[in-house]
Amino acid sequence: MNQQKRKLLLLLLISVISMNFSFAQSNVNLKMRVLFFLDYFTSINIIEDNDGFRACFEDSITHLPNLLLQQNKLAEDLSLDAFVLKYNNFVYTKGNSPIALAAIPYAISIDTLTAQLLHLTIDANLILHTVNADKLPLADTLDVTFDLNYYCASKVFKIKSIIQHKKRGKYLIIKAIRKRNFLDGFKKASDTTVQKLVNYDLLINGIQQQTDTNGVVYIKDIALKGNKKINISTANYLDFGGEKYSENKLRRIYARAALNSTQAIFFRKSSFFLEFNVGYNSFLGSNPIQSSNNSIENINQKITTNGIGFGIYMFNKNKWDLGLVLGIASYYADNASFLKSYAEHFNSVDPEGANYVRFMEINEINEFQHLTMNTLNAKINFGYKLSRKTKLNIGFKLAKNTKGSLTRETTADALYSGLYEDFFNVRISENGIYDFGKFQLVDTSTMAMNNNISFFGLEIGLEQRISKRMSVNFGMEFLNSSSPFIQPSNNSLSIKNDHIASLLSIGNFEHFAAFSTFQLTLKYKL
Amino acid sequence: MKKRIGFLLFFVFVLAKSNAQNACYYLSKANIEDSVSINNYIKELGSRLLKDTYVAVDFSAKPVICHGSNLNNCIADQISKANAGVATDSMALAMMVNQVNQLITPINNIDFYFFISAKSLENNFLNQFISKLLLTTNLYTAPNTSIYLLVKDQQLIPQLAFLKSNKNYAQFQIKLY
Repeated sequence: MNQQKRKLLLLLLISVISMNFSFAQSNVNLKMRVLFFLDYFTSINIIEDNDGFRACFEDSITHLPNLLLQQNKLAEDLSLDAFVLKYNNFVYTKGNSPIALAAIPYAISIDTLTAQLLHLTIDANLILHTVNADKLPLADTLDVTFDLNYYCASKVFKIKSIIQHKKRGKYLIIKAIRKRNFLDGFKKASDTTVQKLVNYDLLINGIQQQTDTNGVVYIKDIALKGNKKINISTANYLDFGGEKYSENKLRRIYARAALNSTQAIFFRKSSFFLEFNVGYNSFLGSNPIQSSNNSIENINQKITTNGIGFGIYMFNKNKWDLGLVLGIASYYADNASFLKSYAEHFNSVDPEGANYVRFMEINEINEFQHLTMNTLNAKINFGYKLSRKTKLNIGFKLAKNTKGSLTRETTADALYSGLYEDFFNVRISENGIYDFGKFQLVDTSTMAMNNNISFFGLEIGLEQRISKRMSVNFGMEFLNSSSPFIQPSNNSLSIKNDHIASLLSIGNFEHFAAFSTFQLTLKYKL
Repeated sequence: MKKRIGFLLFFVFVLAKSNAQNACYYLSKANIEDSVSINNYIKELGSRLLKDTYVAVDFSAKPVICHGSNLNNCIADQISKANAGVATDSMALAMMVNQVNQLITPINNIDFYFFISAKSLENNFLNQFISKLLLTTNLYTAPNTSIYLLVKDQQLIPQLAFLKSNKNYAQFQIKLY
């Protein structure tokens, strides 16, 4: 009996193992067949074989995504009837390119419903591939689940639905173009005369993406909900512009009839730029007037400058640029000069006709000067690009003053005396006799600056880009005159007690203008 | 006593099978141009590994599995028949699935090797092939299954990024050969 039981058990074991094996084997066969069915389904030419395509589906109300990639409505859900109608109209009637499909399955499950019917689900990446109106290759991938029935008797698969669990967003095709001239800006992306930027780094919403060999980037899965601006700028150069696609602009693009056309985006290196600058310095030691004789003490009160310039890039490389800037500028300086004492004498004749030697001793001479000057200037600027947004600028400047004047107010204590050699060397210095005596002098005047003085200068600063066209530079400017800006005169500083000339007119002393300012420059690329 | 000996033999057999480290190579039509260097590469594996190495060669109208001591001659023979008629890719897939099913044991390790050329990256074929192979053999869930993508031209490596779209990407390893 036991022997028989063992045999029965062994038989049972063998049959279970063989059943499992055959089930596993048939499972493999079924999987292979359903994958081949998917291959067959994705390779059908819908235009040539409408019926064959329809035959893959359970019925005409079966739903599938809008696979017409050019229409850019990947989230749309269509019935089989609606899809086939749309496809025929779009591809056959209107002559658009057909869409190639490829399914890359990544999960399969099989349920047995009845002995005659199996239910299968296949998760797959459905790759759509075509060319758009500009003949540029276009591809996108939908993550879908194929829901299928397998009829065991007839060995036929039928698609019940193709579902996108996460609706695929829209796409945008951008072609990066280098704008070389004004007319380039009116050209379309499909224009063959445009200069496309191939394998070119763009920053799209802060993420670096490279254009392909057609100069094209695809921005995929854009959901037009909420704030969906797309910032596109160049990742290559400091001075390249870019474009911002606001949600409204995206909607306008998608609303056009030629949805699948490529959007051109123009980049260009700036050729010209404008500069506006202001400068200021109130440090006491930064004397705007520098005298050749250091007995005159100059003290800066305030220097201000402003100017505009028009620049052209002579070279604009990845790491550096060289620009020529032509401009005009105004310089204003308030300076205080001080001379402890000044003495002179000369032969003179008093009101009664007697000869004498006139002595003038002038002490505590204080002069406040306000210098105003306009210049025409030319600057060669070298810029070293430290990063995508930051640049170090060094500029060498030449300038000529077009007009300039100096207003001064001078105060001093003066002692006038006369030495009468013919009258026993009597020296008269009392007040009340003629114009001798002690006086406090106050005088003002406006003096013209020498014309056509050359100035040479140096600018150094750090430039930071603040928008695609604007940048701000902060640094210092030093500008010195190459020759004295006031003509020295041989006249006396003060002949009479109601007059005192400017300190700057004392003979043999030379005075140079020197403007050193902290400078803020706003640069706008044209 | 006989039962014990029988059980012992069965255990040894299972153990021997389970320790096998099988390597399955797949040479598609995209590899024809590099086939001589690929054959040399396989030759260098050494005879010790040949008994566990299976190479599916899909060069001609009739894809074959090359295996064993005659492996290199078999590949050379297929190279000489290259482009003589075109087999469907599904034939090669079916053949390879069949071979893998024969090798599979519960704890078996199977490593798959695919040679990557510029041609094999031209369309989605390779990605599809690998997915189908893993799905039909249930190996996409097997942690011991490794997929090696063998690349000769280092410049092709960035192009393999598309495999990230494959949900089984974690199993992929890229190697230079």
